[in-house]
Amino acid sequence: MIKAILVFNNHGKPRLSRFYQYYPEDMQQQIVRETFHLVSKRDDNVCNFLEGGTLIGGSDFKIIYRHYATLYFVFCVDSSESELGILDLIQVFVETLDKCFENVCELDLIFHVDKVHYILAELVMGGMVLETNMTEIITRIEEQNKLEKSEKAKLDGTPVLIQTYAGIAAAPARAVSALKEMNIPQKVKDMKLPDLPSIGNLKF
Amino acid sequence: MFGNLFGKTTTTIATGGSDTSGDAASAGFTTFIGKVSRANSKSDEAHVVATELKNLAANIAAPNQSMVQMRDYLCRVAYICMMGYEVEFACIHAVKLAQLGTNYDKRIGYLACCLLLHRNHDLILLLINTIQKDLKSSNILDNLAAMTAAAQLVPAELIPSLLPMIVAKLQHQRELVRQKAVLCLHQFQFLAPDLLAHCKESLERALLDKDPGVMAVAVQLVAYSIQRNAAGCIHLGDPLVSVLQQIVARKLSDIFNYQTIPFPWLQIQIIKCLSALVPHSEVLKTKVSSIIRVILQRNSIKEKMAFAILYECIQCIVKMAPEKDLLDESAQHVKRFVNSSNPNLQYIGVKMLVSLVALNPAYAVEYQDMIVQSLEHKDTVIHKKMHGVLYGIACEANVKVVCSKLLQQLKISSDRFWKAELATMVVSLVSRFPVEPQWQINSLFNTLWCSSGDLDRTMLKDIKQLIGDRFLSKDCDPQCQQYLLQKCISALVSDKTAIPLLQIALWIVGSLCSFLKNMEDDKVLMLFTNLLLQENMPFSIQSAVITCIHKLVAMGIVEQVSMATKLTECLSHELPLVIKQQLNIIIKMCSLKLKVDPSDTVVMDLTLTFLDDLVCARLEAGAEPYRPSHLRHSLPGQHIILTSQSPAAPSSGLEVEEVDESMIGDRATVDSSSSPKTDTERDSSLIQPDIKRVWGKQGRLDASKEKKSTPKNLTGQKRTSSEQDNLAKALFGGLQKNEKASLKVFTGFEDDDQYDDYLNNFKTDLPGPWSNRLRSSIPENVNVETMSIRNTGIIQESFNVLNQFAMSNESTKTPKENEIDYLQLQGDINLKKDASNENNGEQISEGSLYNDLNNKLAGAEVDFDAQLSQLLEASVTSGDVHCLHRTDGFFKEDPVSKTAVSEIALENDGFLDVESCRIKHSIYTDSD
Repeated sequence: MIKAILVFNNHGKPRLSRFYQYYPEDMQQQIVRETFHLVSKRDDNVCNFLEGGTLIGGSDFKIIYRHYATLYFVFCVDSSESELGILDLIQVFVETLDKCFENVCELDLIFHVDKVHYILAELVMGGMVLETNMTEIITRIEEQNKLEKSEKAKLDGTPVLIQTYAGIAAAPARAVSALKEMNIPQKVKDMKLPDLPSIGNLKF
Repeated sequence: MFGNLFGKTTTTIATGGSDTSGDAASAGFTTFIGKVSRANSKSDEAHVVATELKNLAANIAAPNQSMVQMRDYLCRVAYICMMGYEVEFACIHAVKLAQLGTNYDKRIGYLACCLLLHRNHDLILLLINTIQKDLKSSNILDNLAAMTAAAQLVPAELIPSLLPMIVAKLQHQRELVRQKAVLCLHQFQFLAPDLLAHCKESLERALLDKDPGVMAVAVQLVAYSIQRNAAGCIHLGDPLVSVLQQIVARKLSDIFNYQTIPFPWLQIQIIKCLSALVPHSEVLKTKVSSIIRVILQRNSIKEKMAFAILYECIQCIVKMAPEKDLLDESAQHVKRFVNSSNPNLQYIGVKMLVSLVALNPAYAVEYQDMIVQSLEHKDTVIHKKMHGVLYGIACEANVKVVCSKLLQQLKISSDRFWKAELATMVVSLVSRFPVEPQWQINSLFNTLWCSSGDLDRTMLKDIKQLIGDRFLSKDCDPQCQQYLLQKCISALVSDKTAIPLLQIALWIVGSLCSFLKNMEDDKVLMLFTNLLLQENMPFSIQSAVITCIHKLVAMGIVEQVSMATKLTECLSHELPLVIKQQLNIIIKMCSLKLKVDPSDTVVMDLTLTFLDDLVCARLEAGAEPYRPSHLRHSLPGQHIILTSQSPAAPSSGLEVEEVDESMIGDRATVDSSSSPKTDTERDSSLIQPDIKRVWGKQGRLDASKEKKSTPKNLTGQKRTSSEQDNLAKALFGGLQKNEKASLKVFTGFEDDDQYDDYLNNFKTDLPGPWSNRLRSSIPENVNVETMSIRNTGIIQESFNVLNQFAMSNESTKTPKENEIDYLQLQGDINLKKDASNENNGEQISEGSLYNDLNNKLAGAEVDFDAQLSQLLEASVTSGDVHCLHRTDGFFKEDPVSKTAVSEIALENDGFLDVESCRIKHSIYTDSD
């Protein structure tokens, strides 16, 4: 299980923190500080895993982190998670952020607290990995962005767009998948029906 | 990624937000962030945040805020919360937004709830309604947001209100909804596993969902069930294998590939599950081993992710304990990891090596050089893991070297968990390879020296047991024991010794104190008194010292006069009341020149037969029988109607079933009272061959007559039930001592287990017949109201006092000395009174008692029986506060008086019973 996901910059300033297990407020801050302390000491040419912190879960506890330019992405997990698997999950997360924010930077994380959390929510839910497929996550996020845009449009007084939006979001899944089935090779059809691939093409 | 920070920073701040992701942050937010980032110090930042929070609090509470503004405010609040400031005021608004908002606003509301609230927050109750409504909604985005919040926030007791709706979502058309529903149920399963028993099937059906995404989360859920009960989940093996086969055969859509590997996370998860299942099923094993072979063949090892799968495969192979060839093949793969230039793979490689060498240390041979190098590896993480390999390859020949490496690490490390792990390794090596006793002793002591402060109780107990088994039994090599003793003494002398080590050392010294004979008396005494008088010494150590001194006296190791003078000196120092009391007792013991032959076995009267007659006499005289506390709170003088009665469970062969109505007033209702048999009956039915009768109908039996019979009783008679023995030992270790017949000296540590046993018996058998008898022996005028079912302990204590009394009566025949003893006991009572007053201000009726006692003393001829009851009464009433806590874990109810309890316990014990008292005491202190 993933116990916490932390993002902080090279100075230890938190940029994103999500705890999947309850810790009191001051404890959370302490965890961020301690994790930063542990991680920032490490060279770039040593492994990205750390074991046993005193705070989160004692000995049954691993820190898996990646360092990108100014930011550290840290996943605190228990021993049931695969280190290499999580390491690549961080990569997926960051790539997704990059796609969603078109060249993501530290400030995107600050100014779009909500969006970053939504992206994370598609990746991990309640400490368990929800979706690892980047395309799928991006599709879902775009679906939500459309929703948001249509909301704005509603405020501007353009009801037509809302109609369009509502049509998509509430469209019965069967109809949407029927659309797709044409493109999917026969052998794959049984396994997976990707959802809403066409939604990305709908520009408003 | 994140490389263009500076370029973008300026534009973002200038334009007020990135234009790429739609909605830009509000001007207010931007200004705030700007201010925060310009803050030079923590206090500056705190100031900026405080102002912002004040504004936010005012704005957010203002009426008629638009949803857009609300969203902005909550985002700011979430950011401030992340910075670690208190934002409690915004919680209710987050809940409100989730409730009132639509679509996007609702999502922000839920997000803020997830970030600001937690499962036990009061506002969750308000949110539940909203979640229910949104789960019913036809808008799937509402469904999703609600489920995300439900998974994070709903506490166990509210799960039933949502469960049916979420289970229904497992059938939803959209895979996204199904996926979240499965994960939500997974969270519920964590919290309340039993609630989900009925939907187990639908959850397992999710494993065969047509969407691989749903399948993947279902596997996580299944993994949790397997982790809890692998043997019960064997039926899941086949579906898991078939899913894995499909993935490996690349039957999934390409969009699930990651770095050209088909759905690696799902593969990892399934292999994990399977490796937990294989030890339970042979059929499954063959299936799994064939698929693992396929995976090993196909794995390309070009991608990092392939290594992750490989790692899981090898872990699975290790778990299967498979054929040699498969193991050899995995060893080949391990080589690839270990020799990799990537530190991550190296780490994983070492980790695999740890599990491989556990199966066969030979696999480590080819990595010799690497292992030796790694011990100086610059990366501490790999370096640490390598010690695991070292531990794995240990054998008789190299165990010393391995241990020295581990100990070296133990010395320099400062990480608590790592130290504990190292200590565990050392101790397990010592117990696995019993080479050279001196080395064993050294290793154990070094471990304790370095880490005893960081070890947990079970670990310390293991070490103690190891030492006890190896070195403290009778047939051990005396040289080793001598060596051990030297080690202990050096630990006791050093002022850097940690408390747990001190405790263990004292215990060992206590057990081996016969060796102290060779030392000069002065030195021995200095050793202990120095410890006793050292500042800030915890009570546990002081009482351990007292125990040791007791043994020295009892076994005649130290000359008693010098002991007495030395201890009298100690009395002038500041010591806890209890310790002083104990010292007084020891000094008195010295003056009596008591000696105990340690070779004799101990025999104890666990049923207190010697009191039967007293009890009977009392009952016949019209005394009220014992009544459990829960029946006692009725109006005085009124007959009590018993509604619920704890069954009297005879634990020790004493019959209490027969009830003689003629004897006691309202006895018909009291069946847990003492046995109302006549004396003669008792004499015949209660034959406890080992136990001497001390109390007859007319008071104390003639001591000299008893003395003659005692040795006969003791020889050749063995208890049938060892359980009883344990109980007895723990209970009345000192009882037989007044016969001057036998005494075995034990320490608190030795008898921990036995005492535990006793306590367990005690718990289940309450109120046991013997305790009932005890209670009934308490005269009617005792303040029974305050007695409780649990005060058997204190009664037991009072009998110890009695014993002490009896003992002194026996040893000092003159009335003068008797009087002194009375005074001593009187003093005891006073002490008790002080202690209990300090702690609870409980109503204590000793005032009158005290006077009574005085009166009695003034009178030349005192009825011995009456004295006894007085004393009993005294100890019962004075112990009222504490006696409730006397038996095992009950004092949880009142942690404050815990210490007082143990002090009282010590006090209450007569000096001859100090050993059993120690046992009890060590339990109290241990339970801290």
